[in-house]
Amino acid sequence: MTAGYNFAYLDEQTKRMIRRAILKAVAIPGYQVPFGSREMPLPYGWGTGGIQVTASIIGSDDVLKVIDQGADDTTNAISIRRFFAKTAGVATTTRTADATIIQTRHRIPETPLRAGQIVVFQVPIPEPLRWLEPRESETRQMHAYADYAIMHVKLYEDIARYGHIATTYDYPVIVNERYLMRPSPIPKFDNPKLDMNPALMLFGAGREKRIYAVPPYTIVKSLDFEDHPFSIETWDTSCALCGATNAFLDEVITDDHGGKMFVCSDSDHCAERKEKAA
Amino acid sequence: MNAISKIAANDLPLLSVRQLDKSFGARTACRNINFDLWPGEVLAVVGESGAGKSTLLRCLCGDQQPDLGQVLFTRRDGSISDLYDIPEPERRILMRTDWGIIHQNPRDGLRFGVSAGANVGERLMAIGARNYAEIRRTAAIWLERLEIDVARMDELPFTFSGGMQQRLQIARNLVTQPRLVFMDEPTGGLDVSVQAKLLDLLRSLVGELGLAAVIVTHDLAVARLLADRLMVMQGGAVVELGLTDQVLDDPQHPYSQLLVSSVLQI
Amino acid sequence: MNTAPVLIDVHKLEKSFHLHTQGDVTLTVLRGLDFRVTAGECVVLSGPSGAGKSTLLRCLYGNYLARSGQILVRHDGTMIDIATAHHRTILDVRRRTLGYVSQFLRVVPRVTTLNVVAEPLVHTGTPVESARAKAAGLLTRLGIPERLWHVAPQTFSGGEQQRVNIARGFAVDYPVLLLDEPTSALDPENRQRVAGLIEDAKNRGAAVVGIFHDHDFGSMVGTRWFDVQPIAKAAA
Repeated sequence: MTAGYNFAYLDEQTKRMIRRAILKAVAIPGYQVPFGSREMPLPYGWGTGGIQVTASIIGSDDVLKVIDQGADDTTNAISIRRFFAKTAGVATTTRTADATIIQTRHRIPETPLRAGQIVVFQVPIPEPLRWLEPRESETRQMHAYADYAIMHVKLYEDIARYGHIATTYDYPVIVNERYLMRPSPIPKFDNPKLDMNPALMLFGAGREKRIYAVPPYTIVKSLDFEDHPFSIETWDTSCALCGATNAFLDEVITDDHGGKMFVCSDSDHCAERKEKAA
Repeated sequence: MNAISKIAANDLPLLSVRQLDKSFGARTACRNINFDLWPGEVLAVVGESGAGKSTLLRCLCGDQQPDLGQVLFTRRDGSISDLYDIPEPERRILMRTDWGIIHQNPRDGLRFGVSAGANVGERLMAIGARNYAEIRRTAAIWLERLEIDVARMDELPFTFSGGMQQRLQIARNLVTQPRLVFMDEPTGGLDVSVQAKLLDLLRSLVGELGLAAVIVTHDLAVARLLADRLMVMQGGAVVELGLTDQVLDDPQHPYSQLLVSSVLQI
Repeated sequence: MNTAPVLIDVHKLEKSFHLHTQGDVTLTVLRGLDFRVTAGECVVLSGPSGAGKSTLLRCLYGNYLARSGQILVRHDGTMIDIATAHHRTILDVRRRTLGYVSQFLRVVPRVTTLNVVAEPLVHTGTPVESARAKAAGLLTRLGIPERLWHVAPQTFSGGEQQRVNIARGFAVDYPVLLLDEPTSALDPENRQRVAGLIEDAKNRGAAVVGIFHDHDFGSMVGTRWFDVQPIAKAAA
């Protein structure tokens, strides 16, 4: 832990303020709680919201895992992991099962989460209604009155235009049968993992200054139509590295001649499977 | 029994306005407005610009809380409520089920970013419709009814002509079969020939659906053709209210006389 | 002698116009007028131009507001005072009891002739198909060729429009019919056709009150005359 910084970078008053916002968010699942987002030593869009949430909840005995698009070894994941190793001196891991806090961008790990774990999501735009209704005053009322018809209008448009619901990531959900929520840009493949998950899910949007939460064992339902039910992505192939058939696969271009392969987006999950197989 | 209850329900006004006042600072927009509107009745509100017509309409349709007075309405179950006494969520539900609002400018009443079908389907989805095929079927029926080619259902409203946009706005409002529709200059800004078509449609719809309507207009010809009664406003007050043909042919108030004598023969 | 029921009973009708925008004058057109019409009668209003014949008809229809007096019209077996009745009652009386045919056709543009004529019937609750059938019969009787039925009447000649207007006015078998120079633009042959319609109305027991610019036509269809004379104009 580097001298000159407070534990986990943020000062204690800021952490308290953020913890209060988190408590409120947990108390009202899916509700966006405003908070006083701080300037962080990295730009908006790089996970400033997630980092502030992590910084507020992390303790010296926590074990941190950070993933970006499912991978532990991308720039963003590495730099955030190092940031906390440096400012909080906490242990880090790439193993989902070993982590107590998992900060993530765009994925939920394939390994089932357990009670006691906390997932911190980095959120670019927290308001699910924003593209449909630009006025904040109006979207607040829509949330207040659970008036979410325009979200279905959006799904209707998808079907009318493409024949199916074309939204594949950041797929809107209703939390605890009340609030409409953006699950952050995770693939809709991960939406079912939000439902009744034993882990606590916290969402932080730094630029938009909002925190929201899905407490453990909360009902999370993806919006759909009776005759166009919600469904997740499937692949005709399995992971080229570990052979997984029920994981979220990324398409990787291997050469300039059209060569490609599909591999697990969750690098830890993939590595673990290979280890076990070996 | 059924016939009797029908008559009884018919004998209650759908909307009763009592001593409604609305001011903006020192300027009085509406002063002591009183009237009743019965099911199936069309009331036209006329008067010069600034007479308080649009403010009154906003007070009636839940957009603008009056300073004083009541806007009472009879619900489908026969109970009577003050529009501004019920909770906001309930008022919002009411506005998109029992009531319709047709704006002069289609931009205020349509979502230009989504298709015509979605514009019509939105009110259905708002009251819980979750079957895509059914929503689409119902939307198609209403587009057809408003003489919009169903083949253009998936097009965006900005590709439509002004008259079509206005008809789309009406379809969007009528899809939940409201009992009361508010219209602010529904034929304003349209070509005369398109106006005629819209008037014809409005009139037949009002007749077929038994709609009650409050229409703000400055066009006395529109009022004569559409309205059962005419309300003349001046300086925020109602100066005359009567059967449309009576007010137009035998106006009593000096301002009504001026208004009627100021227009070309209608 | 006449035991037929009274359908129109006017007592001490006074009608004046207060012209606020024209020097604040008050013109009294009708004063102390008593008038009664029984079923099966056709009363033709006579008197010089400006005497108030049209005003009387319009007061009967509720188009003009009476200043004082009673205008009783039998509606559903009871006498309704048009001068004081609730507007919804007046609209109901107009829908089912009181027909009014003016000189001019005034309808929504773009509506076909057949629908223009059928509309009043539809508003009484008659099914659209039977209303159209009756409208077709009336148009045929009034010599409007079938090729015009599906066109809006705005472009028709004055005489054709007037016949469409008459057909519309006779679509419902109103117990009381008010006719304000409905035949002014018609040739003798068509006038004859209208006379036939009026005759039928009388025979089914309607009370008809008419103003006809043509004295001979009045004599032909009228059962009696009622003279309306100008009263001394007085500024209030």
